[in-house]
Amino acid sequence: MDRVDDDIEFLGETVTMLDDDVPALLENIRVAAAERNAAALAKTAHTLKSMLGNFCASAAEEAARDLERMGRESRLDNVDVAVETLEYQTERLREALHLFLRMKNP
Amino acid sequence: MRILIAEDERITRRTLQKMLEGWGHSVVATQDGAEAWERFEQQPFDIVVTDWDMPRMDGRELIRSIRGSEPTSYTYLIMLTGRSERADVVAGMEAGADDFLAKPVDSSELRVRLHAGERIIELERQLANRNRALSEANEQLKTTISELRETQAALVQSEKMASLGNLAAGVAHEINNPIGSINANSDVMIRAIGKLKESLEQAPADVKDNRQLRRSFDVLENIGKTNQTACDRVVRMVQSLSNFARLDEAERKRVDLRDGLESTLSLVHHKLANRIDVIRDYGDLPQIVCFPNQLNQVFMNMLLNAEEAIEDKGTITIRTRSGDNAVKVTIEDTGVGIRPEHLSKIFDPGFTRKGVGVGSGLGLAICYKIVTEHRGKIDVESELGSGSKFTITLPTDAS
Repeated sequence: MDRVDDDIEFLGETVTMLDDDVPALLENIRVAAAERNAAALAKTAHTLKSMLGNFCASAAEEAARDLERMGRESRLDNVDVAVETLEYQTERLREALHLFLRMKNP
Repeated sequence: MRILIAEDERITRRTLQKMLEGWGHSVVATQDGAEAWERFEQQPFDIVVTDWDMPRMDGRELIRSIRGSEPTSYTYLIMLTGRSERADVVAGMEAGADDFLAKPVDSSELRVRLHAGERIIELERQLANRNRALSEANEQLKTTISELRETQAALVQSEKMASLGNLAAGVAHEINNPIGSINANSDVMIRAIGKLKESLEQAPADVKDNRQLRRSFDVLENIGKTNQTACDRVVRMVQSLSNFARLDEAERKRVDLRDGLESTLSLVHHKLANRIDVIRDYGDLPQIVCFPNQLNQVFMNMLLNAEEAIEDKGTITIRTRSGDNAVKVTIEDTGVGIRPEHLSKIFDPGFTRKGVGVGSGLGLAICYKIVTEHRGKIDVESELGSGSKFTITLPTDAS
């Protein structure tokens, strides 16, 4: 909240963007992982990492960073687990954000 | 400040835009490097905040394009990067970025980076102003040096004229008396020979009819007459030299310019003789108040230029005309002419067609200066291969 000067309306705007963009990005990550396309995986995970970073979501951001690193280093042995972790952490973040918004703006 | 954002991830882009607009900046947010570059080309920005990885045009290419575009003022470039992407930071700084900022962007950090950018922009602006002032001062200095050269050349020329005047005065003084004596003696000798020849008529026949004696008297008489003619020429020459330099007339004087033209012609006669015909087409001229010695320099320069322009045989026509409170002196030659591209430069100090080390390139520059100081003008017409015509126009009150 510090980053947006406690502007709930603006936080709502960015959460809407997150809701809009995350499903497509996660889908792209899933496809890249299934196809073992390391470059596409690194690029999409990088974008999602940047996006999640705006919400100071360290666990979700860290999961995206892991996937990006796997893609860059072409080490895809544990990629499916990492994708599941990212999906879980991202979902948790979105739930937390919506809960926060409802609390602030019932 | 006008700030351009290039960031493909829209939450980061929107967050940056909100922060910057909140601090009163004018912000344009673009979603990749190509769009950012398009906007920058339309109108440069004070600060550009750019992501590194972007579709179509990445941060490195955008930074290079901006640095290569030479906008009128300095653009401060801040690169956005992930916390772990140190290699990108190095590459970005090498490409021309001024600073970098880790994502997610912290507002306090962004604010201090912007302040640093503003300081750099201000310093760059001051530097540009100083460079501009320095460049202007340099131009002024060039003009001053050029004027100084011109003045120096005019002074040297003036000194030369003064020396010539002194020399002429000295020569006139030293030569006039002995020449006078020779002239008078020749006259006496001719008259004495006349008397001897008269006496010869009364002499006894063997003397009177002595052919050797009579021939000797004729030879002596001719020598006397030749001496007188030669003396007259020397006197005229010294007078012309004096007239040309007009040392006694360094101040303004009312003169007939035709006298100056004639004095000058007599000094260049030896260069023209047997090669160049001089046509004098003198119309009536009112006397004008001027610096005669200076105008004689102009005539001398123009006549010598005309002489040099004529490669073999040719004609120099000198015309004088008056009317509309002005007098005109035209010196026209049938020489090689002046190239059209040189016509606008011939009065510039340093311009010469004579090759390095031959002409000083200051002759016509001095002529121009002298004539304009008399509130007059010099017009030139020329056709390559046919000749040139210089017309000096002076107001009748040229002083």
